[in-house]
Amino acid sequence: MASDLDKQLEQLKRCEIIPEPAVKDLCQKAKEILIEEGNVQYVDSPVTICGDIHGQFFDLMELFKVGGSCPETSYVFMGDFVDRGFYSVETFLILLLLKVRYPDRITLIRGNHESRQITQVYGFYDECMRKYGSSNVWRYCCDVFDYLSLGAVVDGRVFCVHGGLSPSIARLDQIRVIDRRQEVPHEGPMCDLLWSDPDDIVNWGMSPRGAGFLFGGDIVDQFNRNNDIELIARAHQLVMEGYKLMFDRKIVTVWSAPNYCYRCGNVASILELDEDLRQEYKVFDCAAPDAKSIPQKRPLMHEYFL
Amino acid sequence: MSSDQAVRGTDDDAASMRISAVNQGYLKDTFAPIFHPPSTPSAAAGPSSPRKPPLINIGTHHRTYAIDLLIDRFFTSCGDAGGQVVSLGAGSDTRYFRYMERPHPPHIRKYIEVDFAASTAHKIKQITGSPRRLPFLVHRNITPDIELRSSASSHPDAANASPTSLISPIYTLLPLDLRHASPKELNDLLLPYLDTKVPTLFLAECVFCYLPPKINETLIKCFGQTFEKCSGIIYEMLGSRDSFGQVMRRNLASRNLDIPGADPFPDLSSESKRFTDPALGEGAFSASGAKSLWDIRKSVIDKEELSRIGKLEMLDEIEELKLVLSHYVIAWGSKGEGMDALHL
Repeated sequence: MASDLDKQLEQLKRCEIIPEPAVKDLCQKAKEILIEEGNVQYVDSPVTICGDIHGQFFDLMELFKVGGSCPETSYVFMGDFVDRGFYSVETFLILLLLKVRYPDRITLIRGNHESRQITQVYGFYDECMRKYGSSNVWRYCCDVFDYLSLGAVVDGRVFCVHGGLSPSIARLDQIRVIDRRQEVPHEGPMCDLLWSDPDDIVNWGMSPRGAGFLFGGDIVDQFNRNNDIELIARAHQLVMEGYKLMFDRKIVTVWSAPNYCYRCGNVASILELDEDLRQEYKVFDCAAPDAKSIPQKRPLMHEYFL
Repeated sequence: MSSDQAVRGTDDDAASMRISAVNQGYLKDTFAPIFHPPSTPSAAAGPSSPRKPPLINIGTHHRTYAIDLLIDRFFTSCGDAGGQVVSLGAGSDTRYFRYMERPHPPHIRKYIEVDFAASTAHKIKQITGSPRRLPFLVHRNITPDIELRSSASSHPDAANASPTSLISPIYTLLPLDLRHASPKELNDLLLPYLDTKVPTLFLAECVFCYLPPKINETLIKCFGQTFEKCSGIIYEMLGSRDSFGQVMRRNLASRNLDIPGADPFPDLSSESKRFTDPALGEGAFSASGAKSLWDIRKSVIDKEELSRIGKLEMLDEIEELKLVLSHYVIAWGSKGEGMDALHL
């Protein structure tokens, strides 16, 4: 079985899709592994924390060059693997293959784009239809999305989540009682974890995204104290400089999609945590543009008003 | 593909964005589907999805909303005497028809659209070509009396036979390659149809950016000199060289598009000052301003309207929206008595 997986890994590393029956099989195996993981998965340091990837496959390969390959480096990916970029299929499948091949060396957390509804607007559904000629692969992947963890905790001290906090969650224990095996709801604690953003406000605020909340430094302070957490690592927001620490370094946004949507001109970063949870941010730029990284028959994602 | 075709192809982008925004409920425009030109060769590589990403729909909405608002304010300034509009590089724009479809259209004395002969010829075909379409376009006396002309100077090719000018009591389509237009040519073309004593608005939506800066200055100056009461509206990308601007230039270059006309205007203040630049001489405007699409979202668009369009599609990101909208600008200028109502 390992050799089959290795063969598929080699194929995907070349950015070639694997056949639909292989995807079906892979998704089934992934679900069997993910169902054993908690809503908040425990992870040991040293580990490298990554933010949004959004189907930018060649930039993900760049990320592995910067951070080291899996399984040599242990990774937490904080969601938004799909949508927006040109290679959501290849990106999600290679991460899933790594998960099945090295379950203890890579943790995948759900982002707000790992959702049936959002992927139909932002590209993953269309990409599956284009590359496989049917919606089957999209359906298999969406089934896996429902099994992904909602967060991770490194050495009990660093809380990793895609979006942020929820007014309904004061303690990590309260995340554990969520039944996560469902489509991302429009409201409630599970939605908030995937949609909320930190902001320079006091207490809670309305999110301009229409889902989740804004939360201020006092909320982060309180949450970290209540749960003996020293840092919240989250993704979800484009940061032109690749990462952004806020609130006296108690929360950080890690963004791992360089030149986002092939339009934004930003750099990306990953966060390396060593055995003592010391933080090192590695900033990287997008993969050298060549004929492959932006295909000829591209969906017009990086459109301009002309 | 030549850069000529590439520039003309941008109208295809604008039209398909308009259609997407209409289909998703952001804008009302019954004319957009009629004027959407066939795909350019570049688009033929793959069928471009008719539905655009929410960010594009939102930007298209904000741009249309703000320019409509400025034009409404222009006509308010004009009062009972009405006003004239010259839309440069209008392409498949539907604004005139949208305005005339209103229950109470503004008092438009003349509405002239200027573009490449190939573009005006194409638009005339859309208007007159299909017998089913024409009655739709002439209803409510929009174009009761049409005269079509082929331009004598056009090249002796197949397109020669098709008319490139459309003259009607209000709506008029005229062919001109703006890249090589002298003030004399522009005036010779426009003035037979315009009254220099009537307040006149020129509109340049994503036009100047593709032209040499000197030509743009000449065009603005020419309007300022010719008309006693004049206003101008420019919409385009900022010419900034920040990382977004660099990536944009690279991406546009891959489509054979160059934006020399945006280069001298990297920020809002330079966009605003282009109307009042002393180099324009007596063609200089007396008042001007500029706002980015992001500013317009924050401070111009009605809260109820924002809340209405906010419900149409799930918007997943704010940072990206802010980044992109901050790089597009609407600038305005005006001169002459009573014309100062034009601002956002």
